[in-house]
Amino acid sequence: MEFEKIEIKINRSAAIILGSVLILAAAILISSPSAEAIDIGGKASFINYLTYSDSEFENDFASEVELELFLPSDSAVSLENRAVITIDESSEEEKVDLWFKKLYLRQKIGEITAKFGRQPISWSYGALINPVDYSLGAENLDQEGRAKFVDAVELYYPVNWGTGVTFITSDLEGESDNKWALRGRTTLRGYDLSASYVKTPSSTKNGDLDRFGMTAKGDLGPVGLYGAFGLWENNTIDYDIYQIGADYSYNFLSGSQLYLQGEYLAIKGVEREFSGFDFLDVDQEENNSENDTNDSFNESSKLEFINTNLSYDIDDFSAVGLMTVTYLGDGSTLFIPNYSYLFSSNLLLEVRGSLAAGSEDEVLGGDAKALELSLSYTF
Amino acid sequence: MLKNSKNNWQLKTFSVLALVYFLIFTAAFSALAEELTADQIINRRDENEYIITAYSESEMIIKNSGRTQTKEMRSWQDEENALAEFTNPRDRGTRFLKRGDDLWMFFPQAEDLVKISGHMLEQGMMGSDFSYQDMLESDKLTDLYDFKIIGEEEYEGRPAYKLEGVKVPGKEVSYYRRVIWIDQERFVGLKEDLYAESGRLLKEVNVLEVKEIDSRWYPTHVIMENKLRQNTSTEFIVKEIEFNAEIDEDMFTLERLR
Repeated sequence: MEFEKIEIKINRSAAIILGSVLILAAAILISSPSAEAIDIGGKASFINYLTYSDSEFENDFASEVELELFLPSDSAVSLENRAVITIDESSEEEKVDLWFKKLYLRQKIGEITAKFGRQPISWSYGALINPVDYSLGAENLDQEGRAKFVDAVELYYPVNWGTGVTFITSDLEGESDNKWALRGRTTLRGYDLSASYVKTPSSTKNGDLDRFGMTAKGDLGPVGLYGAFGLWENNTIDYDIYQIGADYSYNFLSGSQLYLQGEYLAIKGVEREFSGFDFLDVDQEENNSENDTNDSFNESSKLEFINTNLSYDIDDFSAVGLMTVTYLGDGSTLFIPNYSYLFSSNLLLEVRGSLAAGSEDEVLGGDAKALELSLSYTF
Repeated sequence: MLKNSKNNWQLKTFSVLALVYFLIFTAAFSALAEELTADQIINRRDENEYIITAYSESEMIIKNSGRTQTKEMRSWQDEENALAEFTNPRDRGTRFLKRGDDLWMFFPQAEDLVKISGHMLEQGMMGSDFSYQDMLESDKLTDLYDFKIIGEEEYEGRPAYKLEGVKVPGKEVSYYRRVIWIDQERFVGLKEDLYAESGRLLKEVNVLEVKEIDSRWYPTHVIMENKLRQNTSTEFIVKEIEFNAEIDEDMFTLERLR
């Protein structure tokens, strides 16, 4: 009986790094005898993607394993790590992909806490769409999107218990200069406030992108409030961004809970065509071409979105929810329903859909529909 | 010889009378001493259960219609603040920090550090029947409720004071009214019924085990039942606790939460 040969390509450098991590972890354990043992944990997932687009139906499967080494808390070196191994038969590139979500050293240098290596950079403040995050791009909208995990150096200086200043520099693919950012965060009268500046170098004619951002989050009575203000500038764009949102939860006497969230997002100064969320990809040269014309964008346009999130905890083990993004310019809406069911402490089923409501030429329209089923086991 | 016999009899009579007198006096004194007020009873319970500083490792077992999920955590507390970190596989690395009435959470996957809206404090912590407010309430009960003694009962073989506490106007609490059974000898809570303002019984807490740790009696195994839902309960088990633990100065900071 012949077995079909499965082509397996593993990124050589990733494999070398993984091996180095194991050797380093062993060295740490040997050199720092501890009552705690090294522990290995992670998550194994089986994912089914169902998509319907242009009258074509596709059904793809993928498997994913995340592995993390937990070193003793009193070890001499603090090494954070999380490797991801993905097996995707439908992938046109590598069938087996190994990459790292995290692989960084954390070290205290005087008052400063430094992190060196692959790490997630996320400046979340509770918004559904974050226009002032460190990384932009449609891919970054996913909470655990790959774009969030960058090779960087982060330096954090605490001013007091709730105030700190962060400096980050990371490499940027295709650019000789590093991207860098400075962010301050503080708590004032119960409000969580932040201000940031991000410099993204670009060798294109668009020039370097400067982004200023401010966020605020707090409570107004029983309602949570948040807001953001941003400025994006380079040689070809000058955007003003405003966001305001609120969240509220209602606890039923039976113990279940309804969570409601809604936000308004406006981006002023957009002068080009866009579709979906690619207005976040400001460095795409073709999107900023002077030859780009669109009658509806003769003047600087204001893009306005209303985003909502409704979530209901059915019981302690299952929840159902619906997120929507609506572009007010044409009324097109993206619906993202979701459902989760916890079989036991570690076995979780998640279902997430994506349904565009709008015609093909509308920003969030089209006939594409998608469904993702994920069964994961955490160990 | 006759004189000696008479003296012995007098001595014995005197001894017996002295002993009886002593017993009567002691009983009377004890009765007087044990007539405590409601606040005194609650304060003595707080002496056992109120935390100045502590480090603990605990487990929560959440049950619902035959399904079970277990969460493990370790936490550091002082009178106003608390930092907790989950150690079970599914939630490993998730941390929350309570400072006063504010709550921050750290999500390890994207290393997000987010301030949680106040209305979420009423939510069950990580899906349990214990709300964040339940778990992290650090004020003394006598500051939050007006208590009165409503009886004495025996609970699970232990003589207990039965007290009722009603919310002090203006105070932020999870439950409008509480009925508490407190062990008369150990001054530790044995049972608690928690009521809404409407009078509806919301939750029932039963103490399954108490231990004497560092000369104080502390409930180490507690089960909470949501009376509005059938077949649900959350058990909270303290596996290890160190009272008056030395806590680092920077423990209750956003930096430590990261």
